Amino acid sequence: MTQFTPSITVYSCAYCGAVPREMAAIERIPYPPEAHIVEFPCISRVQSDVILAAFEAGADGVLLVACEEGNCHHQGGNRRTLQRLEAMHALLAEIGIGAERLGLWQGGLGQPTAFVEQLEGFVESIKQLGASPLNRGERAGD
Amino acid sequence: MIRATQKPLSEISDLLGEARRVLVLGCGTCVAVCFAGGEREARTLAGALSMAGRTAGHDREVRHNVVQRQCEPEFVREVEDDVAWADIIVSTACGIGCQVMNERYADRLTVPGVNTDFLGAPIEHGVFDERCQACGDCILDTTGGICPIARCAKSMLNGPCGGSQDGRCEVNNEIPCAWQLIYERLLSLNRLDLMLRNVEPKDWRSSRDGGQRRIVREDLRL
Repeated sequence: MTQFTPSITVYSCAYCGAVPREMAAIERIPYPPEAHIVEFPCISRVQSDVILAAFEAGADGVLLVACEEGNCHHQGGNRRTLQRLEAMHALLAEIGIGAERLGLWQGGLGQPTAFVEQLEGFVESIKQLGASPLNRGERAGD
Repeated sequence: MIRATQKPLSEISDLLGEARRVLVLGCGTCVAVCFAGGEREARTLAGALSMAGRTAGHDREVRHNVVQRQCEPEFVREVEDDVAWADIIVSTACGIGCQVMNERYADRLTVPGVNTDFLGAPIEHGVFDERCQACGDCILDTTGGICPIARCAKSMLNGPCGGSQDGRCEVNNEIPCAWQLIYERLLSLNRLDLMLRNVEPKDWRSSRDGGQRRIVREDLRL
């Protein structure tokens, strides 16, 4: 039995996601290799079609990294993402992928350790869930 | 513009039956503006149907495309190849677009992916209100630009009725009384004289009561 290695897509805000990622790199704090980070100018640009595209392309989990409340570079992008999250969770549950495979973390610019901890925690939670129903039989490893 | 809302995914899935090749066809006009059936919504729906099929064990392929105006035959001609490939088409256009697809491609069934709700306008981001019932005999000039046909629950022409309370409709106190709005508007325009006129009963034959309507413009015919 081989260990399941999930594929995690991290859609990250170019501010509150990119800066702690850079800081983690500078401070040599490693983050999970399973996480494929894709930066967007604002997390609100990541709408339902983009999230579904990640799952369709083989992601076992998708983590959205948004700015903290009141700290959005574009004023309200993080709130828009929060507004959409419930509907997105419902859609993922309905199509059989599961709501728990979509996560959200609202972080701050100067939090590289918390950023990495969130990635590690999310990767671990997806490992516990196993491969996405779309990937079973392909990369399940179990 | 025409306002619509997407049908629940489960309902759309049921409409597909045993179809193995599904085309989700969006429209780039009204339903795109109200975020119900434009390019992004068609792409999202196609992805959702595809993945829902995979998780349920169906052997189903789903594609999507979008035309600028699904309500006009010359625009839907552009998707001939996609239609030829598909077993069934899910239209995320309004009911007009869905019918044009069924007429243009009579050998394929096009099913509706949205419910067409009304002719309306956005009153704030994400909120749309009905504004017109396409009754075919516009009287907005006499009502300060506020339509009592669409916005009064009783479509009254000599309002308000006795159910108007504190400027709200008796049907639902979330709805403003159209005739209160008309009164306030005409008052601000100093045209309350328009409210004193007794409006004759409306000839509803220009509306739905005369059956399906048709406009013929001889100057445009080929």
